[in-house]
Amino acid sequence: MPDLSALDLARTQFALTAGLHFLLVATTLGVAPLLAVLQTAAALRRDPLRRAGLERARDALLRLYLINYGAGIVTGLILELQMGLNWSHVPAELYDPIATTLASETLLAFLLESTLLGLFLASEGRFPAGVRAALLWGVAATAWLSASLIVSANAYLHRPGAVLHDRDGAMFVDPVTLLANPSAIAAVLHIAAAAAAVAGAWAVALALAVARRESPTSAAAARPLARAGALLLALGSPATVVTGIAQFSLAREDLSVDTPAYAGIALALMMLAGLLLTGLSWLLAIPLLLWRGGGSGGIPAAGVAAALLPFVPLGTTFLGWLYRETARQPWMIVGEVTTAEALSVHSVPLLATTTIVFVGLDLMAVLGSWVLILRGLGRPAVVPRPGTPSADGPTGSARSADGPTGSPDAADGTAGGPVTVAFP
Amino acid sequence: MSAAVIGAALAVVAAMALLAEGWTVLRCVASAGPGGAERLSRLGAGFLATEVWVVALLGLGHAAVPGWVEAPALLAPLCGYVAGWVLRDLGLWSAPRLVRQWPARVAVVVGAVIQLVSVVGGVMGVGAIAVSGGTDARFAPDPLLAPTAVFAVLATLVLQVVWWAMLHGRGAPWFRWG
Repeated sequence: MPDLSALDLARTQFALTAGLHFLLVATTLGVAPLLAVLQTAAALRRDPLRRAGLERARDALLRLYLINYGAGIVTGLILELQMGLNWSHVPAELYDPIATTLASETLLAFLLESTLLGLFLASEGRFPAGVRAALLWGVAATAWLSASLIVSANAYLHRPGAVLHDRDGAMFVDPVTLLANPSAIAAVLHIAAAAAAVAGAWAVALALAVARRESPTSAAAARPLARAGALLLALGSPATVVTGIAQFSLAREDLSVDTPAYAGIALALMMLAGLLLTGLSWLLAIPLLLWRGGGSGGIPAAGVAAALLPFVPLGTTFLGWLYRETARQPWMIVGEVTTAEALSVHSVPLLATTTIVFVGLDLMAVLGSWVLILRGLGRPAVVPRPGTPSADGPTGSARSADGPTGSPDAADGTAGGPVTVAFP
Repeated sequence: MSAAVIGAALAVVAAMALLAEGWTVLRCVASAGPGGAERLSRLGAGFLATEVWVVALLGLGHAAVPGWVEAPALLAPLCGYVAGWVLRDLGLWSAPRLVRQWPARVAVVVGAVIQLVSVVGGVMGVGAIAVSGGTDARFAPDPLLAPTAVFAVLATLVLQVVWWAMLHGRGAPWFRWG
């Protein structure tokens, strides 16, 4: 066993819990706006078949989103817990920007975003489609607002000089400079591009999975998913590369930090994967845009390849965070506080225990969510009520596809409505 | 100015956490009695709407009055509350998916009782801190937090009133008991 110090263990714990959390966040940030677009398009469509197809596409994406959202809450709580446990020795005046952004993120994501999502889920068949589209746009907007705030907090750790002002002998942070930190803007743009590529890859995977579940609406559902996926992949992948390169000059003011060899390998792998994904996305774009959504989704191998496709951009996001956070060392806040100074007083055995527990829980949440997603790829998150056409078509009802955890019945006091929502 | 705004937002969030989540906790405790399954079915997904106020209180309190959140007198009640909360929600989430629901019902009741006892302990802790002259907590309002807090709290209040008026009492198919 390597001779690890308390600092090594705390840094490892932070890197792994942050990286695993972001694997889920990259999906929810990319999928939330796509869900809103599909719901809006469904609300505007007059043709019943196309509208049903768009709703079917939305429901398949919604299932994936909800699984990710739940697992994201678990890993997010663990991330905040290890922050509080391990990094409590930052001077109060330097910690204020972090506390402020974490509090704002809590209010926007946990309070407002989850309320909007809950109202969307509970209002199926009760609110007009347009109002429900507005709720989903609210979910997407609050998700991005809270993500921008968290990235601003992270950028403050990298480039505090752009944020902190000395006024009357006291450190002062104003919101404009916090959000306008060049390091934050570059990171938010990079994350936006990466999230678009991740969402695009999931949409392509879903399109092929939906097409294989033959039903009257499967082609109409697979088509918009494939087109949206192709566009997001083809635009998001090169944008990720360009905004990633821009970060080299903007992330920190002092870029002369020596990074360890493994961080260099992570960077090289990330750049290689980004370039390969860009080439692949452009190669796939034209056939996906021309595909009519029929033919059971093509050969089975294509479905398997599509299901694995999202893990390429997801892997690059993990490598990207690994490099970014390693390059900040030995600083907690560059030029102000080192990680050694910020570390709470804990023994090595205690830190080893919390690392095993926290990372174990995170891995269970991330891998469990992926298993659930891949097992139910293309299935809807909504279950038809008795007397309404099956969303999954004649080959099997959505209820049976959902197994015993699906909605037991439609007796929730709203008989006659079209669908009930079933959590994964 | 921003200190007053954040103070007001904190007061609203604290009141909602106490009243709304308190209502959920009491309902879970009462489910130990006759008609408990029906009571929990009527609660449905409502606990998700009330517990977000507790999360908001901890988040906002951590930034605005860090000394209170980290006060040693409140550490045990806070840990107890979170433990009870996890146990209660474990029961609420798992029961409708189980053939035998009684273990989940026990978890809901025991978890809610632990929450209730922890709140009483927390109130006593706050009283003890006040009697001993308060904490050395500074109120640390930041200009960014005031508009965010006002917007998030008001928007959530409006949305939850809409939920209450239009959807409350209809239950949710994935939280059905009995």
